[in-house]
Amino acid sequence: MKARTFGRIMIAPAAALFLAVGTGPLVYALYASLHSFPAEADAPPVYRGIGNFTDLPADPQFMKSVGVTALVMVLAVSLQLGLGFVLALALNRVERFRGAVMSLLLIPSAIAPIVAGIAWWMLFNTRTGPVNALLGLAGVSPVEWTVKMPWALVTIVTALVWQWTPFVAVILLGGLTTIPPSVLEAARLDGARSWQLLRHVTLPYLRPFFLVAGLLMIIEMVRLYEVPFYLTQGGPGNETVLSGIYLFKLAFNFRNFGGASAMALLFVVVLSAIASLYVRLVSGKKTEGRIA
Amino acid sequence: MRSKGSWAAAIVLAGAVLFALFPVYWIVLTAFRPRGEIFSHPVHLLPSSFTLDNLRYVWLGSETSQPVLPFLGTSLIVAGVSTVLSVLLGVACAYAMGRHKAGGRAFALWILSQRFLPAIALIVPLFILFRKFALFDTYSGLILLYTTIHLPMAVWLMLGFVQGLPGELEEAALIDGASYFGAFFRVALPLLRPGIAVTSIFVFLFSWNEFLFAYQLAGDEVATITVYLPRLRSAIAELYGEIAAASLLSVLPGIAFAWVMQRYLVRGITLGGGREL
Repeated sequence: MKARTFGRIMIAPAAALFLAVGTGPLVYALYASLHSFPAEADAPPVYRGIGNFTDLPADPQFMKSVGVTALVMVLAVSLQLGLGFVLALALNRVERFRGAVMSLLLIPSAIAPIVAGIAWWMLFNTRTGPVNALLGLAGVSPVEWTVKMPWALVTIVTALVWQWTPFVAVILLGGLTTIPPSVLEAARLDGARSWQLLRHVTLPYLRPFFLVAGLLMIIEMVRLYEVPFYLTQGGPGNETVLSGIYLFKLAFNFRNFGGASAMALLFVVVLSAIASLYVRLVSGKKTEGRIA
Repeated sequence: MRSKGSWAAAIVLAGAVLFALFPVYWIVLTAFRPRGEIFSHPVHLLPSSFTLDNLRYVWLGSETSQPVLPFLGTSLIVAGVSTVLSVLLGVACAYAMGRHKAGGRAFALWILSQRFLPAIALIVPLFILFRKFALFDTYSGLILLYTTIHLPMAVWLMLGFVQGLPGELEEAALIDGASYFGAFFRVALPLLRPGIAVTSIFVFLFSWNEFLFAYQLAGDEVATITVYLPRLRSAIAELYGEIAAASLLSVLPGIAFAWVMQRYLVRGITLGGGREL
């Protein structure tokens, strides 16, 4: 048997599965996005061209969900990157117990996202939660976190920062370890102060790692579902219905499969653009891509 | 010598660990706290009395909660079977890609692109197709899904391990007359055992933690632990103790895993992001 045949046999099952459960449904989504689905169970879908797509910008709830998602994304990702950077610098500084500290820090990323929602829902509980209890010690009267704006958004962003900041820090730490000590030493001998080192040596080296971490977080935020699902349930009103949650409302509450598919394809286009950027980054220059 | 900087670093890390662990602490605390104390005013931040009641309620079931064990069992079956399947398919695929350049760069990119297909984008078509093919709310449907969505991760993790394997042993086996399959099964596979272990743990954890598909494409006949958790929340009875106890049971694999796997955790989540295509 030729090596070529062997290779084909070995990748065939995986390829078949990707076709059947990944690419196949994607093609079906394209079909569904161009049709409307009548309420009667057996009625065939009706072709309606790009109507589902043009309906989206006219749907105030859709526009609102996109706006809220963008807001949460900007807040959460900038905090994750900023705090993650501080954390990475600290991890880089301390040699002892680094492994153990990293294990503890990565627990939030390793537990189920729905439990992240549950944990913060308990912490932010108005009557029984420790957040209000601690604020009470400082003389602040109880805040109705998950049911009042803007606090509901604060709870979501807090949970996301908790879940992913250490993970971002570990990626950035991978970047810090690629900086040759000689470069830092040379800059120091030239009389650079520590903030100058940070600004002119460390940050330029970390740029690709920031990009990778940032892209991963953006993708995570676009697909976000569990945390707002449990923590605020989209409330108060529809204030925290993020785009992920609205897609399900569209599909399963309003039975608008066509509209939901159109929205899903929009996600795919946005995420593909982000992903191709990501692929270019990690498969680019060797020095740029080394993480983990 | 300890400089000012490393003290600052130590303080930052201590704060971060405290922040990372506090929610976990609160879940553990609430899980073992008597009902009266959960609702007491002012809120007790430290443990005082201890009870196994909450755990007992979710374990045995009560008027307000179903027994948790069948849900844990479902999660175990679904995550376990799909782990075996995706690791098997993943190691075969990665080996052919790494050793024989099977599929080429286009195939590699296609696999990577699957990672970026958001679950939410596939759920509507999958919902319709699953109903058409009688896969809705079945073990086979959910296992098929988990196997597929975690396969890209399995392939990319395994690819790293395949590339790290010296090829000489397999070449020697081929020269000695072994077939390609023989070289793969008898020579490469035993050497890839550490990689297979790492990959299995990842796929298992991600399947175990998955909520969206389990909730939307199953959840009645086949209901996992992540689907069980939101069910405990009701407007009438505030079952904080039970919710915490069940959450605790559901996060144990993740916590055990973080402890063992911190070296690989980032690589797994970024899908071997640092490797060349």
